[in-house]
Formats: sequence, structure tokens, C-alpha cells
Amino acid sequence: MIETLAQVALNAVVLGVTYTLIALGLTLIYSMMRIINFAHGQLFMLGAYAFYVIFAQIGIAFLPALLFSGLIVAAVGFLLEKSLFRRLRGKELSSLLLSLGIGLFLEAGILLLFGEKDKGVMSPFSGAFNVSGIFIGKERVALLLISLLIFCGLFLFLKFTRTGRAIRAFSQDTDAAMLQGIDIDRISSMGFALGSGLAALAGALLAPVYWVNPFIGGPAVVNAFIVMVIGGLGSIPGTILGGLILGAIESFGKEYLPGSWNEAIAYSLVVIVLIIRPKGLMGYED
Amino acid sequence: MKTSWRNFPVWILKILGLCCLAGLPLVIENQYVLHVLINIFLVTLPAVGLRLILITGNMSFGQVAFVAIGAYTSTLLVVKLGLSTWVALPMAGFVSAVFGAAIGWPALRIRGTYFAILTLCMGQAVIKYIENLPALTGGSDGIFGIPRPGAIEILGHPIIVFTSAKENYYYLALALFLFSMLLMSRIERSRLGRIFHALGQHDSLAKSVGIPALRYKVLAFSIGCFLSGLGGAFYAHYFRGVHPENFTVWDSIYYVVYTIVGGVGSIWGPFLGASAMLGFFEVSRSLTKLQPILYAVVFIVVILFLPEGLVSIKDRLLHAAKRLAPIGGGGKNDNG
Repeated sequence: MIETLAQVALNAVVLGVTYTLIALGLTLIYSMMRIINFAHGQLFMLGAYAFYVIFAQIGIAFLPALLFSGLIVAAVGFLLEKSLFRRLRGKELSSLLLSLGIGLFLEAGILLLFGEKDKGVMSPFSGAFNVSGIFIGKERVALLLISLLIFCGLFLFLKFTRTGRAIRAFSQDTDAAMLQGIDIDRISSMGFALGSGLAALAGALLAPVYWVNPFIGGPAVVNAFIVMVIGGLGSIPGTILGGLILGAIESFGKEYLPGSWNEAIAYSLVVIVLIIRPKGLMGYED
Repeated sequence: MKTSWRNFPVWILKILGLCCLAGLPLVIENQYVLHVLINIFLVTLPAVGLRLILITGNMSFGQVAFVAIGAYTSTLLVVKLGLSTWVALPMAGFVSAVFGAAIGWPALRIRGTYFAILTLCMGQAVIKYIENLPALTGGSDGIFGIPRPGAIEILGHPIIVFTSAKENYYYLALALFLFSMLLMSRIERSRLGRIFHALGQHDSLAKSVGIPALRYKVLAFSIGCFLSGLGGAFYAHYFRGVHPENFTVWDSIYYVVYTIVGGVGSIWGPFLGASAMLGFFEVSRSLTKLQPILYAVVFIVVILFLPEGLVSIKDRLLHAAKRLAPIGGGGKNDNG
């Protein structure tokens, strides 16, 4: 009984961190450009494929492969912002639709190149730790540790580097940021690249845990929306909280509730949170 | 008033168009082509409703919820209560409208991207509730074997009988579509239509002249949901079954795509968008593997270069024509 509960709670944390990881880039891009990036799921999927090619096919070591996947997709995001999203700056709805089109394009492109079959990526970590009856796979431990590293890295980058500070200034007040001499064009591209890179890192990290196919982007982005909204659109600590809440709902719901009630609850929670507290649990006023 | 001789050519065009649409099944015998045409009308109904919601300044990514509610309501009324399809169909629309009002009342206080995400998740939630209430909805098994609509009789003689042939379903879909167009053109010309447009263009200004903004937004949302429900009900009777997997977030997204590609500027926009996108989809089928990517490219190009949608092509052509021939005729043709 207690052991089941502990196991479920542990799974909840792992899932929560996973969801946070996927949603972070989405939150970052939203907080800067007010773009709801529907293509985020497909950038996540692109990261998984990049990792599949670099790690499983070419055979480069795990960590460098992870890094390369992130960089490649960050470059894709950079180019997308520079060539397409920039034309629609300030138009929230058009940008949203554009991101939808880009998502469709990326999905179709990967489908064309790799086909619709599932690709498996062998995890470099096998086996599991057994702590008094509670199991945790070594790959999950690695996932947790690397995720925490990414969270800390992002936090430090935003807090202490010049570019990071510019990104935060941009998120808080675009006009004031411009008056301070921040190059909005450059920061937009950088922010989009960073968000895309984070999506790709999530995709690459999860590739060995789940299957990789061209359609994993859709469900990923819907979950990321839930996380982002519960926590507060554009708030990074909120995103972490939102991820943990969604992880808990899914993990406990699957164990203790019949059918797909866990999903019904998660979606309802978003609706309720938005109606009662539209800025999310930890978001700030616009 | 409006009906002047100047509008005469427009009326001729409208009547010609109507004759063409009504005559199509006589020319087309291919059942698959008819199915595609029926499908276009089917997705146009929720898209027309969505356009109305968009006019008041809100983007809904959850219209599939109201399509599903309409489909299940009509199905349950026919299968469990044994009502006639012809009673169940409008009732399904009204039930969807009531749900729309109930959800819209609290939700429409929220704006912009927040509302978009709210509706997206609301749509998913409704489908998950349907999936998890098997006692009422058949759960993940769905409900199948809905009886065909009863024959339409005049003086005891069955005139239109619904069989496996698609012609009569085509006429039913066409009738529903024309009904939605009639409803929209009435609204568009009324005070109500002007209020809806005012809300979308300048919310606070409309409030300042004493328009209860929320109430009218809920009304527009509810009418939009009514059309979605009607579309859903038709869907259930056409396919003779409902299943939660028939209603996905992608349906909601495609209603948005059709509406935007067609253009919000005219009531015909959603129909134009749905015809263009679905027509393109069918025509490009021969490209098999390249088709999805081409579809995405077309969509991106429209968003970037035709932000007002396909209906704006006419205005752009007129504008270009005016620039080429600056003398005479300028400004005469568009102050309607």
C-alpha cells in the first residue's frame, strides 16, 4: 500500500519533470513574443529525430549527441524566427496560425524523410535501482539529473548573462527594453532559438524512454499547453509547478481512477484555473 | 432599400450558383465525389459559427466539443428515446447552444490567447467526459447503428427517401449549409451584426456607448455553437454512428484553418476556405507522399501573403484595377 503510493509519487515526479522540460521552451517564447507556438511539439519531435540520427545511427556519444541535437534545432528555430515569424511581429493570432502551419510542415517533412514507422533508440543506461521495494530505472534517474541541470543552466543564463537579462527585460516590457538599447530583432531570434533548443533537448532526452515517430509532437504540445497555463503563461517557476501538478494528476489518476479520467481532470483543471485565475498559479499580470 | 436594380447582377449570380450546387448530384454520379462535397458542407457549418465568434474578437480552438455534443445529443434522442431525426436534428443544435452559453458565460470574460487555450482544453475535456461516461454515451465503444432519417413525405407520398446512395444526404447537407448562410446574412444586416462587429473592433468603445459586451459575446458564441451542434448531428446521421475518436483537437484546428484561409471578411469565407483546402487536398492526392507538405506550404503562404483570406482576392483585384484605370468608375462600386 505505502509502497504503491511511494512508487506512484516517484513516477509523478519523473513525469512532472518531463512535462516541465517540454513546456519550458514554450513558456520562454510566449513570455517574450506572446506567440503561442503550436510548432513547439514538432520542434520537440525534430529534436528526437536529430538525436536518433546522431546517437543511434552515427553513433556519437550520449552527451555530445544531446548537445548537437539541441544546437541543430536551435538553428532551425533561429531561422524560422528570422525568416517567418518576424514578418508577423505583434500579430498574436496570425503568429499562432503561422506556427500551426510550420508544425504541419515539419511533421510532413519528417514523415517524408523517415516514414511513419516507430524508431527505437537504445538507452545507454539500463537496469534499475531498487530502494526497499520502490523501483526506479537508471535511465529515469539520468533523465531527472540532466533535466535538473538544464533547469539550473537556464536559470543561471537568464539571471546572470547579458543576453539572458535582455530576454527577461524583453518579456517584461518590450518598449522599455527597446529604450534601453536592446536589439529586439537579435533577442527575438536568440529567444526563439533557445526555446526551440529546449524543445529539442526534451525530445532527445525522451527518445530512449518512448518511441520516436513523426506524430509525437501533437500530444506533447497539448500537454505543454496544460503545464504552461496551470503554472501561469510566461512564468518559469510556474511552469515547473504546472509540470509537477500535471505529472501528479497523470500518475495518481492512472493508478486510482478508471478509464482516462486523469485526462478529463487535467483539461478541466486548465479551464477552471483560467476562469478563476487567468494569470495562472504563479503568473503575473500582463 | 437594399434590393435595388444595382444589385440585380449579384442576384443573378447567386441564383446561378444555387442552381449549380443543387444540380451537382445530377451531373456527378461518382459517390466518392459526392462524399467529398458533403464533407465540405459538414465542416463549413462549424466554421461558419466560428467566424461569428471570431468577429466578436474571440478565437475558439474547441468547437469540436460542440460538434460532439450535437452528434451525441441527436444520436441519443433517436436511439434511446426513439425520436424522429427531423426532431432530433434541431434539438441537437439547441442543446449545443445551451452548452455554449453555459461555458461562454464564464469563459468569455477571458480574452486573446488565454481564451484560445481555454477553449482548446475545454474541447479536449468534453471529449474525455464523453469517453468516460459509458452509461450515457457508450464510452470508448461509441454508439453505432443509428437508423436512417425517415422519408420526407408530401401528402402521404414519400418524396425523398434516405438510402445508402449519397444524393439525398447531399441535399440535406446543402439545405443545412444554406440555412446557415441565410442566418448569417440576416444577422450581418441587422443591428445585432453591427454590434458583433463593433465588439470585435473596439470592445471598450462599444461598452462605453452602453452595449453589454459580455452578453452579446455569449450570444455570438452560442449561435456559433448552435451551428456546430447542427453539423455534429448531421455527422452522426450521415455516418450512422458516433465514437469519441471521431472528434479530435485537429477538427477544431481545421475549422480555424478553413475560416482564416477563406477569410473572416465575408459570410462566404468559411465555405470558400473549406472548399479550397479540402478540394486541394483531394486534387493533390495523386502526389501521395508529397501531399501533406504541399498542404502545409499552401497554408503558410496564405497566412503570410493573404492575411485577410481568399475573400480578399476580389478586393485586391478591384484595387489593382482602380490603380490601373484611375479615371472613371473609381469609388462607385463599393459603397454598399
